Amino acid sequence: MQNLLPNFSHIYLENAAIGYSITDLVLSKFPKSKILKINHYKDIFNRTGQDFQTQKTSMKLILSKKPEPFIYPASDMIQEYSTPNAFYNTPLINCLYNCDYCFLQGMYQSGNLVLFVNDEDFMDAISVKLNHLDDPQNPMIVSISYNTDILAMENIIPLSSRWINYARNKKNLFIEIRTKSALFSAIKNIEPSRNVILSWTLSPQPISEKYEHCAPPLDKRLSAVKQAIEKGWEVRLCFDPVIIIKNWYEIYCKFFDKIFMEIDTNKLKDITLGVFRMNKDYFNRIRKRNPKSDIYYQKYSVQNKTVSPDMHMRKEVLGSLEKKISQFLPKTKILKWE
Amino acid sequence: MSDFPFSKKLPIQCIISALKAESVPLVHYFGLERNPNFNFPVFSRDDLFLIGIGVGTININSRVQTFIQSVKNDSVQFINIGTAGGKKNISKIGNIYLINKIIDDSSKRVFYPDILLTHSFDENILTTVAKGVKNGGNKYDSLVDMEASEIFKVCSKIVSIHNISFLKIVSDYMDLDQINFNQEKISFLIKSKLGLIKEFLNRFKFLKELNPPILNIIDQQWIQNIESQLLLTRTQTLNLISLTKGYRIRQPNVLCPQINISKPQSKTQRNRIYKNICAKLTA
Repeated sequence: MQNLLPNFSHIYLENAAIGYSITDLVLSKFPKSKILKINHYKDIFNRTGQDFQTQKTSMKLILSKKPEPFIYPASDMIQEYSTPNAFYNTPLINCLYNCDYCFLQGMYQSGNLVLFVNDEDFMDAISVKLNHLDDPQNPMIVSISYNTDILAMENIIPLSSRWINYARNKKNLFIEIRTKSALFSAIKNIEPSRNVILSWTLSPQPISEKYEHCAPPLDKRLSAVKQAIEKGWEVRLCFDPVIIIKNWYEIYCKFFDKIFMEIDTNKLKDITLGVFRMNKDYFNRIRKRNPKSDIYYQKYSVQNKTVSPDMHMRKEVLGSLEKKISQFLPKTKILKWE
Repeated sequence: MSDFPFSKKLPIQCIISALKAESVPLVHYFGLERNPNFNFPVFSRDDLFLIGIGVGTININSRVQTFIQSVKNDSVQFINIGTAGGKKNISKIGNIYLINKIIDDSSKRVFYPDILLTHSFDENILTTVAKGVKNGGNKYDSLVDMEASEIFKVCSKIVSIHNISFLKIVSDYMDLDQINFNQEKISFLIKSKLGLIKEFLNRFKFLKELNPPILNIIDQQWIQNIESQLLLTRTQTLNLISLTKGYRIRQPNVLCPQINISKPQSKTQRNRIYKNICAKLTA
């Protein structure tokens, strides 16, 4: 919309972020942006009275130096939370996309993006943790794109490349880069690493069109997935969240038929499967903001502070879809959130 | 941001200005008329209002609150328009600036208005001071006024911050004693920017259009009719609003279900009818 300023028309630069190579790179990429110096990223990001969705129409970028902690235990919303070695971190907060079902809009007051420029501190923290794992017999798994989509930003800020290079020679470490991006081209010249899992969230096109605003269409994501597999990357497919709409079973079955016809399942690391779910507080916060998505006006149950379809529906959906997927790959490769 | 379950009223814009010399050109240009319902200067025409707050912060909270309680409308955009002292190296007398950062000189708190729309102004930083600066303002690297930080503080408790804007025209270089300064000059400065101000106000309205209410006027009347006929509890009303929103999102072009109801004889009957309505909305 021509009335709106382009994304990153304003860059808020924390004094402590000055001098970092990522800062210099970002500022060089946006020479026309208005630069405003700030004392702390929270002065912008945590302001009261922000409107997440309105800000998403003209997102601003905040450059900050993050203090500790640099890693967090994985959320129980993910499929691998049962291992004590699963973690996530936040090199970037918020996302270029704006999916209706995304928890970020309930987690944060602001639709703006925060880029922490001291990624080496994040990496050092992982290196330290690697030597003090609760379960040292098993690998450490770090999701580095949990509160964001770093691959979608790769042409602007090459965070994925930096993280892949960091993880490449680390023993006992996997990093997961979860994305909806079609921008595999941005890392196509990087030698694949067994320490890196590229995880694509895929949804049937009708779901993607209705609920995944600004994200690339299914075909483009699928094309990126195929390129990554061909290059030899470890690839995970995330059918998560499954959105229960009218004729969901037919829609998802047709979708799986398409996906697994185009992709060699033997080359997939695994897949994840889960229905829509969200922390109750985030869900309620979003509801208060009058969201324009029907996702927030449906019946859910609340269990352990998590909003999701009721147990009966969850079992029906996940059971039938798991059965369908197991036509294409073994159940051991299907990670479910129940 | 408000207690209203939904706003029945159309969005309005409210200019906030300090000096009479700043208000008068705006009042004349936009054809505003004095609103007799207030014991302080409020002018209005259609969806545009202007509140005079006087110099400094003392009246801002009471006047804005009185205004907002009177218009009973939670869909407001506030625009502070006025003059400010400038610095030669960052501003020019007569130029108008959109403010992107406000520093409260007393508390050192900093406020950042959201700048989401394209605009034709240069942007600048503003410091709000308690007393007028007449010594050249060497200690400030910004424009200087006497109201903006308080306006931001007060208005951001009423509306989302993207609905608050600040336009400042530089009137002097903080050397008021050295120049021949009078009310006419201030009015002249405002007058010279009225076209740009009008364009900005029109553009600013766009932000309201971005996020229209889910329920239209007919939906709201439908809910109110049911609420009054059935004497719904507050919880039932809020749930009905929520279900109606879901219905409206799923079926944007279909009227709410037609329901013929009369006053129920008992709470049990009321609850049964209410349940049936909810079932129709979620079918």
